[in-house]
Amino acid sequence: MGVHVKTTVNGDEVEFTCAEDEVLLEVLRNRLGLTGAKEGCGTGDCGACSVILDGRLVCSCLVLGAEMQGKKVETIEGMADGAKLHPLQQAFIDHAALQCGICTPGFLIAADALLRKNPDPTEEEIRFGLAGNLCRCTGYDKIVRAVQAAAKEMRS
Amino acid sequence: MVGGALSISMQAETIRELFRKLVEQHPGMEPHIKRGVAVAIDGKIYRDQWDTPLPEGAEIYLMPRVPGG
Amino acid sequence: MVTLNEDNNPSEAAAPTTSEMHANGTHNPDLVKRNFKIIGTRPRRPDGIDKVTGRARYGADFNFPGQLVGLVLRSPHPHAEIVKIDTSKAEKLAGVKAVITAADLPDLTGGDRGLMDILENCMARKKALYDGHAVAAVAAVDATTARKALKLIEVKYKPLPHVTDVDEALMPGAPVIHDHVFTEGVEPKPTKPSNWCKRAEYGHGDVDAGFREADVIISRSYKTEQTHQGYIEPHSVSASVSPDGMAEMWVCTQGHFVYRNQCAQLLGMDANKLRVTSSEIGGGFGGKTHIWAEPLALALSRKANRPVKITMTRDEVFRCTGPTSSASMDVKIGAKKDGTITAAFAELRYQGGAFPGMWAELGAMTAFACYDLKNVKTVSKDAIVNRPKTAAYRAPSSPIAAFAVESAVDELAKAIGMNPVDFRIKNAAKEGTKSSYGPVYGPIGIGPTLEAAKHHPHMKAPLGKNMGRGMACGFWFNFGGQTCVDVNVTPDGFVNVAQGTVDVGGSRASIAMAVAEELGVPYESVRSIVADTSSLGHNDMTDGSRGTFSSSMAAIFATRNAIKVLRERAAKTWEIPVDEVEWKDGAAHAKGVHHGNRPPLSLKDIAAQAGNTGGPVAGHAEITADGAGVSFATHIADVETDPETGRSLVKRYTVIQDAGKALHPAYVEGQYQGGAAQGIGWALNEEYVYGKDGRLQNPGFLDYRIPVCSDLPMIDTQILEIPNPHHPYGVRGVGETSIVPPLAALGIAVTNATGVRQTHVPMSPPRVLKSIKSKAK
Repeated sequence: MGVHVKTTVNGDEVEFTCAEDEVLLEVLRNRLGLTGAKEGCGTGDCGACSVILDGRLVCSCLVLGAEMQGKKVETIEGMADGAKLHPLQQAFIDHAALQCGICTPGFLIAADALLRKNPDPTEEEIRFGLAGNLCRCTGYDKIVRAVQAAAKEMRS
Repeated sequence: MVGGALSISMQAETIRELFRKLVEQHPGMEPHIKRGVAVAIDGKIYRDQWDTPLPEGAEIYLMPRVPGG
Repeated sequence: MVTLNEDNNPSEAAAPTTSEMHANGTHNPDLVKRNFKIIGTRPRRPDGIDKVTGRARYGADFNFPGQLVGLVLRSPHPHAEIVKIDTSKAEKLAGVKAVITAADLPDLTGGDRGLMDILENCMARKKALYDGHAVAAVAAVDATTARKALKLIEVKYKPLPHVTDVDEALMPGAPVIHDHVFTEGVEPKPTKPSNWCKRAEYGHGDVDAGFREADVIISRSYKTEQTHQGYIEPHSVSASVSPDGMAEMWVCTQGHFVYRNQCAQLLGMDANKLRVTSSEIGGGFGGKTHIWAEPLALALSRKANRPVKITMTRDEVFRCTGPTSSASMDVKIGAKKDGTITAAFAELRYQGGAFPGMWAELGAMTAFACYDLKNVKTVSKDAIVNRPKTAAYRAPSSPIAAFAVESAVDELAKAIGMNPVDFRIKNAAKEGTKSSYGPVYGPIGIGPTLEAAKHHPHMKAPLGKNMGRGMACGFWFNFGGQTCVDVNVTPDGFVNVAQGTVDVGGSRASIAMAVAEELGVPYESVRSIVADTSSLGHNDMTDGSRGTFSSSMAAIFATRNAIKVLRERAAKTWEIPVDEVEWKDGAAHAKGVHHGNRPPLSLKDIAAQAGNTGGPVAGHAEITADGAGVSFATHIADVETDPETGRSLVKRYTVIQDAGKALHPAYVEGQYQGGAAQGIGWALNEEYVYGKDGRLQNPGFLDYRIPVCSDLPMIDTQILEIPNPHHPYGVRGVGETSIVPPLAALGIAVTNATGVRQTHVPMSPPRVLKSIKSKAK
């Protein structure tokens, strides 16, 4: 029973065995101990489980663990460079862009994916770029400002 | 309960004494006080502090204890 | 001699209250003059790095060794008698360790009907009362086994007629949901049970006479639909009960002490043996002030003798937790041509789900709270329907009533040809106003928020095609309650603070700021944590906008007590009387001609010597934080409504609210913006849709659409600071009021954009389109 998978998570090679119907989110949280990705809905509507898979932003609740063979997965746990936070992470703290913080890992991953494609987004591009992630605390104002500030810093 | 909108006058030094006398004179009030009331003394709302003194001539309102989000 | 007014039957069940007031500091006349060093700045939050790196542990991120997976079987029927539950097949399945039903949760409530309602909502007893009502639960070695076990539980239902609409539930002939509920607040007591659980009435003066004086009267009916708090984190609880009765629970909650007390009571446990730790909380907004799966997890763990974790799915969150009321309201307001309101009346009908509530009554209390009225009367009718038990949602009930009242106020202002801002300013409540719910106001902020709105650049900005602007006011009571804080000085001279109110929006930072301010040390020297239920005395929940208000008050008093100890220790070290030692700038200073040249003793110096001067240095405060001070806000909204589709987009939004004193302004702004966004979602999109079959049609984020980033503009905020005289720094609660005005502000804005008076929220595209088309006919 189960599928044996070799993959790369945050630059580290990992191996796991998972059930055929087990989604990546469950593998990350329950088998690899990476609980930064959250389950907010399980249907791909909230973005709290966002990860980057081979350079592409995905909801980890919508892809199977068994599909990860030979892929590259990036999660929130790999975003900082050791003790040095990624500019987006630092900007979220400095701009009070989080309250409860449950959506924050997903937003940071989605914002990172956006800025890799578009280092100088307009406010509208940021708003549409992050439209797959739900936040119920902030009204998005401070999140957008944090992404603008981080983008500016990363360009300089 | 005392029933409907009602205004009564009584002598009391603190919220605790007020509640005690109220229950003595209107036994129907007891379950309501046990279930929880808030007290407005000259506009300021007290939910819990029964030692709070009642100023001379103060107008006291009993209100339901409200829940919050 | 005092005059007592008993307007209504106090009703909401409350925790027993015994406490001692901390006498010092309840009034601080100098607070306006005080020069703060840390309060009012924007330091980084202590939980920031954990939350941006994925390290922060929320409800579902915790596991006990050897834990089982708990799942709940839920009723597919909106109303049904539970004839029989056969769990034998499920129990025999390999890997299943426990199955429970209501039979495993005996009635230990001692006749307390309110507590019984909580238990019955956690697990159906004789009847299933709504789609999603729990009927049984299992604990198994893994999720797959638990899911199989749920399918093996055989429940024989006898479906009963159901009702989900508030007005239909109140009609004669509606299916009666509880045979023990007789309308409270009507004389004589009704002879038959009904879904009308409570009537209440508020107000003063003579409204009939007032309406006779009016030149113009507006009379209209309004509706609002049911919404969910929509926190992104589903409920999760892990429970471990040992055979000797010792138990632990890790749970996402707004009030772990209250969860402990209620669970212990319902399960016959001693409260001290149940240690509850609140996880990081992924949003609550009132929805995590009520217990649901927690008693089930404890009962499963007790039966299986293993730890059990229950994590809800989003579908479960929508079907059985949260929602706020849906409502139907009639409002009548009259005014003279000079703009004076002569009379105001409202009847408010709210449903509270499948159990009795006081949600309509809260609406009746808050409806006209913004205004100074000579003649006012509100009547509430609370109804029971076959929907989930209503939970508090940020200033519960107030946004609904404000939608109706503020819409009518706007219409009335226009009818007499007055600017709606000026009309509101003319009639606004002020210090000394007898409020519509009874008490007389002290210093309040409604007038200043309206003046600020009147002069805000937003009010004068030009509007484009198909755009409309609306403004509205909002009110919430705010409260305080039981609160403890411990301040402990570490041997190396830093400070640990233990607070008992769950941090939902940054309160650990605000509490640490208050302690640092009081002590005169850097913010970075203080760390605040939320302590578990075995480490502090009872604390009420983080609700009623009380978290920062109450805990900062307790923290300031606890710090002052610690400073007293620090001065005593310095006096001992110096061998001088304690009254010759003063504390300033983080150090003890000897004063007077004899000692003035001694070098000060810092917190570090005193901490290092603590063992020789009497032991560890600490300060505590256990208080009932009364005097929260009512809260007011005024919002301005611009929308663009597409006449072809009926879709409305918010183009500009401004929140103006009184904070008393903003400890950490960024977090105050965050509360304003977040509340506004939730109100915008309620106004434009969010609604529970029930089918004719009584089942919820949209229990997911795809079909229950909360605002996303691209739906909203920046949300401008203006913080007014009218100090609350009952808090040592002047703080008022800020969490809830911001959700009150948006429904009305947007309703008025869409009305102005379309030329059709909007009376039903959410103003979803089909609803607005229908209103435009019906006008055109």
